[in-house]
Amino acid sequence: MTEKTANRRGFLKTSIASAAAASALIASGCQNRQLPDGGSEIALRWKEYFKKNYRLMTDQEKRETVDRLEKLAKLDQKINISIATNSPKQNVLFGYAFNITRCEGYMDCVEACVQENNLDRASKTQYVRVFEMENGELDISSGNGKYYHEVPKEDHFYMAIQCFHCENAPCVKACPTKATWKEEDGIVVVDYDWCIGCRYCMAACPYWGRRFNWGEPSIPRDKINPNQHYLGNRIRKKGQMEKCTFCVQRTRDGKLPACAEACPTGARIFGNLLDSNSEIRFVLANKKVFRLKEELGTDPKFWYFMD
Amino acid sequence: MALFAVTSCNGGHDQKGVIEVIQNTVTPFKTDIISEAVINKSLVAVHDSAVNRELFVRDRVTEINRFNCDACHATPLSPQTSQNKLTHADINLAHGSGKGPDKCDICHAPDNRSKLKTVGGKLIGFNEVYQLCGDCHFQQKNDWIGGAHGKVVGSWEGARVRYNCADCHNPHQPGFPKRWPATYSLPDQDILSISTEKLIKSSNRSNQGY
Repeated sequence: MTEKTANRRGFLKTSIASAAAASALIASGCQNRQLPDGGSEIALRWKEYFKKNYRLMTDQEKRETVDRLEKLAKLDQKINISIATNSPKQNVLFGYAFNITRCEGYMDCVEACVQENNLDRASKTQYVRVFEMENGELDISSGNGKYYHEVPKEDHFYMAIQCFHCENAPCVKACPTKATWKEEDGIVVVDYDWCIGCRYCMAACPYWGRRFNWGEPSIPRDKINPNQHYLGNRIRKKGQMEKCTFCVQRTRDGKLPACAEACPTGARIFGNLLDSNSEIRFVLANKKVFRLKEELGTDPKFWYFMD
Repeated sequence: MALFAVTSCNGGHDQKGVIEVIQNTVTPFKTDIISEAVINKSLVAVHDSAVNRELFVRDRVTEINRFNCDACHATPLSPQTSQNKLTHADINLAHGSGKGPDKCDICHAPDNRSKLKTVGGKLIGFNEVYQLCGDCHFQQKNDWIGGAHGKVVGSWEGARVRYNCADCHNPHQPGFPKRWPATYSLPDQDILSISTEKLIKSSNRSNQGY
């Protein structure tokens, strides 16, 4: 009796395991190419498929997954990338301010973000959206987000939205697999490989901050930004959620996010809320700032003001 | 049941709002970094009564072709209203539509072509142009020193470097001209009406660059 049970169990185990392996390989469309250092592609994809949520990884596991991802990028896209796993800096909480009087609707921020963060060109995914509003309008949904003419237009003003990295983020609460969370420096991040693509976070976000990959993203090889971060601008796949990450690959290195760097009129102000000498704290102390949909209690870290 | 409802309503009970977190910060944040973007440029400290910490602008005079104008130009500035024939003919003074400076010698020191002249008559270098602009635009100057106006160069931490007034605003024609946006956004209808054929095609395409 026990012998029969052991045989059946053993059989089921191996058949399920091989079916899982086979389906994983079919899903990733790999052909088991050989790597320059002698390893095999199947081994890489197998380990990638079964890796943990980023928050549960040890430093060694993080190094290993970065190594695998860099090797796979060399195989797939034939480019050399480097994926960072910088932790948040101490004593930092990022905040952002947007000067409505200064924005002229140039959309330099939108384009800079697309190039910095390896966004899908085929569906024209954009983390930052600029709205053209008539003078006197307060509700952003009355604005036109799809304008394309000489700017600024008479009697109109411009406002941009993106993920606001809420302190009390509804998307973090909605995620059933804990694939999205708020880091210590205030950035709300997504572990793309842990996301199951249910889009509950997209439904929960009141600010249209989230983007979903309905198709396989495609970026021209010469436009891929090779300086990537595991939680930031590494290349996503079909069925994964993504959003603005305050350019985690740049800001954890001390640089400004691409949108703030690109704005030619200085409408975007980024900094550390815990630094009492920072520009963002000056704005909060001296300007009449407001946040969108304050009544929802999401506590966003993105303020608007007018001069 | 009711107890459960109460505690779940209080969801983020131990989580503070962002304003509370800011007000309760005890440890000051200090770094002495100067960002890579400006490491090879020389920096000039900003001097003003409103400055309460280290603040820099980039040294611009070293980048002006043939600077030290008074090395060759010894004669005083003639009181022209705009272009001089043959020299600086490309400068069209349109600053403030009648209420701003309408003559060259209002801002440029008449006897020293390498210097500017503040309203009080003090001679300043081109790197200190914020002192001249701030004489009339004091609101913008205070905002600029604090960070609400203008742009930061390089890093959000460490020693702050700002773009100077003339780095963004052409002092002779400060108004920003109209232009076309850098890109456009798709109407939502396009995304919804992507045919199933396109979706299937895009999903069959493996993640290879092209």
